[in-house]
Amino acid sequence: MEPKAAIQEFLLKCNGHELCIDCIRCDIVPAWTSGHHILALVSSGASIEAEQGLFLFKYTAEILSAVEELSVETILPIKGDFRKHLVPIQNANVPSTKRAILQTSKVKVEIDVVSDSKEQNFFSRVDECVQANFEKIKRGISAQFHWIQRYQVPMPLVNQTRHGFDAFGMSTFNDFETKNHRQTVASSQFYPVRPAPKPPQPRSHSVHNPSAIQRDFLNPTAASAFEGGFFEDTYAMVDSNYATMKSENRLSASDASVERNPYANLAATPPKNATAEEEFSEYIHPSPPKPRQVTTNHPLVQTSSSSSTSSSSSSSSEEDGTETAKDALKFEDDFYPRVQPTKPPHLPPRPYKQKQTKPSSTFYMDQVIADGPGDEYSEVTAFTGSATPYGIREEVLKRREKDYTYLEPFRIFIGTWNVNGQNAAHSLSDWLMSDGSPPHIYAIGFQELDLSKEAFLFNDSVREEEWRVHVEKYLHSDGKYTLVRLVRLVGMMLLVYVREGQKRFVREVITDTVGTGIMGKMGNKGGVAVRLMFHNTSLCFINSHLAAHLDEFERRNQDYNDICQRMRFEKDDGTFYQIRDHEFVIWMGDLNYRISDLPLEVVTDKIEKRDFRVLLEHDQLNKQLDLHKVFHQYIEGQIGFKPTYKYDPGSNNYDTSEKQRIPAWCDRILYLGSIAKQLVYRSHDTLLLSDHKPVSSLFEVQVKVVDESKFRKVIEEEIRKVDRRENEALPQLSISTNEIHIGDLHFMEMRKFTLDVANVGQVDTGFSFVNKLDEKSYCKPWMRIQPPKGFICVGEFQEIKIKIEVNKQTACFLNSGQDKLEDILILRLDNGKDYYITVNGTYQPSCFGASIETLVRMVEPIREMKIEEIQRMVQEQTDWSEESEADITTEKFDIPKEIWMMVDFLFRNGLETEELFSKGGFHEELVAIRDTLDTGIPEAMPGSIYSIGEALMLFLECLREPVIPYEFYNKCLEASNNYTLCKQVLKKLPRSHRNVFKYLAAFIRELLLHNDDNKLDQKTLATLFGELFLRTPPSEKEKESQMSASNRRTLGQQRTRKKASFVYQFIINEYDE
Amino acid sequence: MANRGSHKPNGSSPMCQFKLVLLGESAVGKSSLVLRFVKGQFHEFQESTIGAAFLTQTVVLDDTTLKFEIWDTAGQERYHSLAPMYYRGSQAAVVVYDITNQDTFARAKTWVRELEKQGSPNIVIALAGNKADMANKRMVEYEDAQAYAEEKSLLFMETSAKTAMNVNDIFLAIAKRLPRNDDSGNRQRTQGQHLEDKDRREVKEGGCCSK
Repeated sequence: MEPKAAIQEFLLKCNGHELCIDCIRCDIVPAWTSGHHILALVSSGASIEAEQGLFLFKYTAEILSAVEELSVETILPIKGDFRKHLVPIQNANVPSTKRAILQTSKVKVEIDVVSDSKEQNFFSRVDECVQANFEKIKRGISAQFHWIQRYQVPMPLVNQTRHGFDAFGMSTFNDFETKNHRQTVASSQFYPVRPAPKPPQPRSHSVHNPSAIQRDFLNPTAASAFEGGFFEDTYAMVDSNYATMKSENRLSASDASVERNPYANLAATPPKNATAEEEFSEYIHPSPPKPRQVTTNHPLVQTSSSSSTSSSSSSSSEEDGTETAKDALKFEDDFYPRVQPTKPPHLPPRPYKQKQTKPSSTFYMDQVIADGPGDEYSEVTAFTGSATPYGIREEVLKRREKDYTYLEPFRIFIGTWNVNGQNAAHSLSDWLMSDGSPPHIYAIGFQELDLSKEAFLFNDSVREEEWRVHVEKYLHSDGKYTLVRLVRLVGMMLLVYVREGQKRFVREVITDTVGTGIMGKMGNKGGVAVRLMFHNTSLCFINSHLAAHLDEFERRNQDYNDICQRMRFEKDDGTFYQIRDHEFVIWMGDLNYRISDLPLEVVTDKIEKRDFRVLLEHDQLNKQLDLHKVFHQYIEGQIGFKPTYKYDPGSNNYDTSEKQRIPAWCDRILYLGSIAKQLVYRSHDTLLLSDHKPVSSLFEVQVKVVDESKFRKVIEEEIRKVDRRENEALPQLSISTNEIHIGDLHFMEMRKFTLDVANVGQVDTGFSFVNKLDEKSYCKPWMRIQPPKGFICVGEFQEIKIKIEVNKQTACFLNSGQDKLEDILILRLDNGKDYYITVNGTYQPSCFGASIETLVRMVEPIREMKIEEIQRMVQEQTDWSEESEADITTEKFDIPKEIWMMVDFLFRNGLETEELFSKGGFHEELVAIRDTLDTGIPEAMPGSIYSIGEALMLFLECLREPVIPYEFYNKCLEASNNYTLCKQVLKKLPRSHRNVFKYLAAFIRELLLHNDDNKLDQKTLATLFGELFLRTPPSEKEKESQMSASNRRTLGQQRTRKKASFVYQFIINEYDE
Repeated sequence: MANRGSHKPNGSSPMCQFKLVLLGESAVGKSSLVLRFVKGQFHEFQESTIGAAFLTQTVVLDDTTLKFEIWDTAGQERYHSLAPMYYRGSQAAVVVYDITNQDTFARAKTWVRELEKQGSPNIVIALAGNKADMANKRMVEYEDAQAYAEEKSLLFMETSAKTAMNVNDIFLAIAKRLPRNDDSGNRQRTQGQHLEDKDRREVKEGGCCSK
């Protein structure tokens, strides 16, 4: 049989409708035909836009003799971004292999081909094919293969039993995993396809190796494993001659599968297989296939048999294929047991619709009959009290629902009709408009809306629009309706309409679809559903078409269970509702349950007499309901109408065809939930279009309507509660005091305070002292807080130590009045309030921390002067750089009297003292010296020589400006090697500073005269006084702080040397003006 | 600082949060106003606030909900320099004075000036003449304050934390005047956004925020 014709016929048989394939280039890969694969580019002619797929078919016989031998192995959806390229690959085991990569954003097929004389045409053929269609492909619409994504839906484990039969290669349909959050390259083929290189003998080998067959045959999961899409990122690799399609991440995939028992569900499989076969045959095989064909047609069996072929007949392989075959065999051995694996049983499905429409829970309505689009939003925006924009948990509002809702009856019309693929025609008034007053909501379900191939393969239907428009013509004429949502899967369509006036009370509209058809996933059977909130009541409408055939009631039960299990209404937050999460559930559709165990004559007779009792007893659905096998807890109204199936279309006669089908109540409406009253349940015999009659029902549903003023009240109450709880949860501390009084404070005097902080709130809390705005530290530099932050548990308390001491760094600012002994500490709680702690005291000025300029003008001791006076003097002399000789008129000492007093003491008592300046004094003596200097001119200085020595150094350190003012710092360092230059710099110093310098230099020289006794040397003294005279200016310190540690050290050493060198110049030379 | 406390979990849906600061001379009743507004309580002898107290309160308007983070500041002069820590980044301020004390009104005016200079550019300022229950000791005339408020485009009410008069009202009035941006909460429902749009329009038309 000519492959092209075979494919055409095959596709034709897929749904038995007119040809919609206009381009089949199945001859493009002739070499594949020898390997029993045909790569065909299939385009649908039904659409102007190219809708294409690269179909990989395979067949079982050496020569394709019958269509039944052909099956679809994989489909590569082709979109605008389709790419193909060829790469040579190096493989030690495979001489000269080329790889063709055909890729879209969703899938990637890699085909490895050993360069064999037979294959040389292969790539050029692929290329030719792609080129010929590339322009067309580029225009391809992306939505066209949504149905493939659709069937990624994982199957619950219970369902796997029926998937053994992969007659349509449908397992591949589930492999195109496209999770929203990641771009995946999915596989199109998973189990190794290994046509024998030599004339294959699949059947004989399948006999030789029955275990192999059985393994796969009995293990349906081999096929269904891929449904879950855990083979994401897998590639299919097809070695045209021998090898395999393999998944790129097969290791991980197979690892995962190893853990599962691949033989699970074995027992249940065979009969289910048969069932699946029959179901399938309804679509593809008009007549029951021959047993042999069942086997050979079974891709799994085929696969395993061919694999066993290659294992047992590798010796007969072609020369250049042997290694490949071995390699592949090894691979396969590893791969095989693991490839039958499993999948996550409950991955959320990805309803294809939602990808292209608005987010599911977004309020969404298609305006259909509204006067104009203008008022759409204004109504929608109106306050709908039951939503929760208030920061209150939904659960809380739910709990209080009765406080703000009241019940109001609304009428919901439910209609269901299997239209047998007919065009929309004839009036629907008798069905949709059969009640006096217009219902508030319509939910209308169709089955077999479209039996075309596009609908089946691409879920694309022109009938959708046709029927929607038609339906809208016949909605109740006394009401205006708005389409809330349309959802369709292949031939199942559900339309939900709401009265104009009520549309603003409809929200959280979410849809989902579940296919339970071929392979348990295709949309020829299954269900579609819409859930929504109407006022404050949740409603769910399901329209389903369950498995056909008289004997298949168990499959119908199974379909029902599948739909229940897999129907998920996904919310924005990723959670989902299921069917039973709703207060009122309506399940309609062609449920396909038949009247069994009664001969046709009896049934016909009873129908004529309208004696339904016996018939209803034999109704499969009633039986199954009684057995609790299906629709548990659902209620169906009393059936008072004739069976709705099967009629001769266009008539009211039951099936007169040779099949003589027994009439049945296929079309049913069931409901779940106690809030509804079924008003009518009926069929409509006047509609003759289909072989089914439409059925309808009217419900009066007690809907919870929100009383907006009450709702407001509840909201406010709840908000109060939340606020109260939140405010109570704020941390609370009790602090022992908000004021710390330091009192009078002197230089070098330490005060300690303790702050007791207790957590008196209801939550544990961290605390920390925080910086005030634009300040760098949380407290003044003369204060230390320990700990500055911490954590206090409820009921516990913490001591916070506060130490206050004015030292050489801080004294001058307090002395000058630039700083005050005042601060406000901010103690901040995590997530809570701030506490202020005020610290204040009075600093007693001291000559320590004063400036030379101020001191030389102070005739009296500093303590006897008023603070204002000191500050005035400080202000006056700040600008000493402009000092001129004219200023001499002001009465000034040459040097501060305090320096003279200390030096004089040392000169008279300490010139010969060893360890002068290196041995520390005593704190008490230092305090006494401070007081002596600050309060008066004593007869004698208190304290030891060492203490005086330290006091002198401290005094020099504390000077507001060092002896060599900061301004001259760099100049001095630069001049330090040259005495002349040093002298020049020195000359420029303010007079008092120069005097101090000269005086102290003279004192140093004096000390060195006694170095035999005091053991002091030039270098030590130069270094010591260098640091004291030439204090590094703050600006330089800042620069230093930005240097690296090593640079800083080097620079520090250099500076120390230069400082010492500068002083040294004046030790060895007696400076004289 | 500006965002402290604004990311607390507070239920399922996000909502607008605003920082509001109370300013005013000490003992005019700032803490009492907050206590009345948040907890519905009044203490005759409210402790002086030494620090800054933080409380939250949610307000339901016709269509939306917003949440105030209220910072009640210390009124004493010596803490004046710390006030910017709280009014910086605030979207709203209530400047409180005591109708029985002219000085507090003068102080309120300096607060308003400071807010105009250093507060957030679009800060909504409300002037509250508290202790309205003590009208017999009134030293600040209603009309004077109202005229001042009009001149400065301030919301103005005389309030009484003791009798609760106008306490909720002044916070509600602020809430209504606050602009609500789309980005201040990820509304799940389109309605919310529309409402916000509408609301903002109204605010604009009213011109109460324009200065």
